[in-house]
Amino acid sequence: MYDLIIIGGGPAGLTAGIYAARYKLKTVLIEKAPFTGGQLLKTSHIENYPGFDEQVLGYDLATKMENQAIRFGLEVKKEPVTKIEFSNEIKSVYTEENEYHAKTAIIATGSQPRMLGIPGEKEFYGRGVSYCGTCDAPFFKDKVVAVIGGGNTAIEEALYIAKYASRVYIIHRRDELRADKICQEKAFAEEKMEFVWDSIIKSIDFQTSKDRKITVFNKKTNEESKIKVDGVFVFIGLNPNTEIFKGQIDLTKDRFIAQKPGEQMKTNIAGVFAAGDVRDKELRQIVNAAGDGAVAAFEANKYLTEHNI
Amino acid sequence: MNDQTARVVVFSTPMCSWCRKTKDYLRKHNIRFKDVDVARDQAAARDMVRRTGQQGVPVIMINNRPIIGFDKNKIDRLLGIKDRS
Repeated sequence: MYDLIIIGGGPAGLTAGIYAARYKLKTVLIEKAPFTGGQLLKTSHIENYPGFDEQVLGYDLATKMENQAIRFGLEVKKEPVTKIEFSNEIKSVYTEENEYHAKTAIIATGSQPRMLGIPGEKEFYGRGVSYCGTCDAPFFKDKVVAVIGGGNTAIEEALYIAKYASRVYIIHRRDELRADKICQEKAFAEEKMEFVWDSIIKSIDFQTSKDRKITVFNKKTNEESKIKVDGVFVFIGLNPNTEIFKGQIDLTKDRFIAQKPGEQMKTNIAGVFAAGDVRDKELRQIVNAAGDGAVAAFEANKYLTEHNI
Repeated sequence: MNDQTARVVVFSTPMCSWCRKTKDYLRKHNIRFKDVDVARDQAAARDMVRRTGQQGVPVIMINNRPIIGFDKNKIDRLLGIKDRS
């Protein structure tokens, strides 16, 4: 029997683990991937995490967070969770091989890149369609690519891709970027960037290796056009990993974990908390995922003390 | 695996975390492998695309059989790794 089970090993889960271990709670963290770090592992350079005046690699930050948590005694398991049972006083989490029981639980399962859901996307994934510019950009040296999205991730990745590609189309559904100003300025200064405003991508046609194109629809003019590109990189936001909690934990219509005002990190079930990207909030950054993790561990500790269990 | 007979090649890029994790994993299990940085070696990148159809990394070749991404189960099976972590 544990005091606390943390599901998910991204910045939120690992920070919760650090705090819980320091509270001397008997804690297990369960991560579905063979490595912890979550979306940190999909990021290359991080420029806005305090304490790193030079850039820090997502990989390095993830490794440091895990080492730090383990140093304080956190137990880490790498098993996908298949089922949960949170309605009883004892919270149960099941993986294929094991089951875990605890007095409290923190959900820190995060989110994953949203897919476009258009023809050609699945078919050409890994063969022209990518969700990681920093991983796959070198395959598009001197080629033309489209980046879908207008947020920070889209623009930062587009800037990295532009080091390789000859031209980068930014296809964005609005007429201005959502990315922060410093990011926008860099993008507008990059000559290889071409902005396709008010537009959404309708389909990806990479059937032949020579005549690769995408179909784009302009929402203002209602015109459809084809753009010749060799690759498509997709950064249109995040989908929460909440499938296994459906029916037990209250979710928003976008399937994030619902939050009551003033009761952040709490869920509809007493003793079950949520932290990081998975919960309903506006800003999803590493720094506030870590902050969430600390608060969730604090709340779990408080719950254990107050209920004297 | 001191008597490793399998020929292992990892196609990777320097900024790809999953590539680094893949290589960490192989090192942890004392698997010898050739690391090909396709960001530096465009000929190797083209070769990888030609052989696997993939334009994404990591791709791990085990005895010329391509494994797309860090597919732990497949890697474990083909290399006889027993990893319980």
